[in-house]
Amino acid sequence: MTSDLIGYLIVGAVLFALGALGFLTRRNVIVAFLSAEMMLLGVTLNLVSFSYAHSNYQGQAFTAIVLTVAACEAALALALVSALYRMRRTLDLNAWHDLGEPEPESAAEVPEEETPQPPQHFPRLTPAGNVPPTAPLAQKKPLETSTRV
Amino acid sequence: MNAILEWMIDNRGILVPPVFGFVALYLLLPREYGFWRPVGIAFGVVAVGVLGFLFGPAGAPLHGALFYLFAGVAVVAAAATVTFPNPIYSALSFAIVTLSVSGLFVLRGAMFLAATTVIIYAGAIVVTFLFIIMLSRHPGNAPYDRHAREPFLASLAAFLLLSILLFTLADWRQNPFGQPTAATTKPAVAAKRSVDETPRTGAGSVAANPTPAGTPRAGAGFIPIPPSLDPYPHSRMRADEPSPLRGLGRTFFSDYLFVVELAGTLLLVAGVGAVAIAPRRVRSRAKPPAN
Repeated sequence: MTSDLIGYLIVGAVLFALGALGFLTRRNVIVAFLSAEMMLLGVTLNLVSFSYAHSNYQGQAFTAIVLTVAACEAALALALVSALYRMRRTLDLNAWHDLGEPEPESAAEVPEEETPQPPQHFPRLTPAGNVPPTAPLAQKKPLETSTRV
Repeated sequence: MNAILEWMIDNRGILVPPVFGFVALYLLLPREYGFWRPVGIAFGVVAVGVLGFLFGPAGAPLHGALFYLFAGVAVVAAAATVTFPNPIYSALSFAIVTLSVSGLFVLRGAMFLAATTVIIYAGAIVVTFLFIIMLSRHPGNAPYDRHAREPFLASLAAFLLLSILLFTLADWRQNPFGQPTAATTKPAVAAKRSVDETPRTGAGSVAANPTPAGTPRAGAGFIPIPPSLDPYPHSRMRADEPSPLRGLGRTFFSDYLFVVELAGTLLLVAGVGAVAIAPRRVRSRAKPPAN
């Protein structure tokens, strides 16, 4: 029976190692994500075969939870990848090595469209009264700022 | 330390599949020049064959044949997923991996999980990602698909991991239940564990007779926990069950009810988060105001 079990464990280990390899080398986001899912498949294969060997359903229950988490992860990854693709127009993982930087040279940026600002009209008041001729420069400044506000 | 080295030298045949697989995957990963590809395929075939020869199951012939079929297809399609330069081919071979792994699930009596895996992985994940790939596709393969990043170091790391796993599993196969022998590399831990567990199982009376009344069918040589000590008594397989689906449902809705509720909440939160993350339509926002 244990010699029966070990074949499944070996397949799980091979799937895990190949998934790790794909996650490390591939530069396409989607292929890297699929490799991560392949690692999850290897682990679930281990869980199911141990569940059979122990004649217990706990491994299968845990596998169902892993499937749920994989589905959530796929939904979030779909949203994230499409948002990031809209930003940089590429699926290359190297384009997002520097998420905090303003922009890399290799990736093209979509220019941000500016929302049109409504033209601003400030009231202009003509100064009332006679300006004393003694100090014209000293009195022009405060008058202008007060009209702006 | 010497015992480990001696044991590894005695079992050095286990190193053949990882080394051949390393050469095969290193040659097969996408790169500029592709004329080493047949050599890589030959190395991969040798690796998979030696792996099946070393670790194949010795069971009923039909079961063995099905196992070889599903396992071989799974491993080959997994290697194809990693090595195809075209991401659409990668996604489709990942669907093949999923199908054959669910075949292995059926062989292990997990029909429900096999169906769920096919529906979720092959039906939902692969299809949505094919959508993304096709929406964002350049003519021909993109340059980032034609060049792998650090293929030598990555395949070295992956196959070191695989050889360590294979050595551990081979050690476990030779000595599955931790009896201390001269060749075993961890006799202290195993001896301590067996000393710890024998008095708890009622001085070996339960362990010697693994199927007392009320206990389900015997496990495959593993020492079963006595029913009075089992914290999850509903999740055992019972001998008189008509189908494994009933047992799985009983497990979900008795022992793991809280976890099932938590998983549903997680799905809801992930759906809300995906809607929040997903990009808004730039077109409609950039339209100028009507005045």
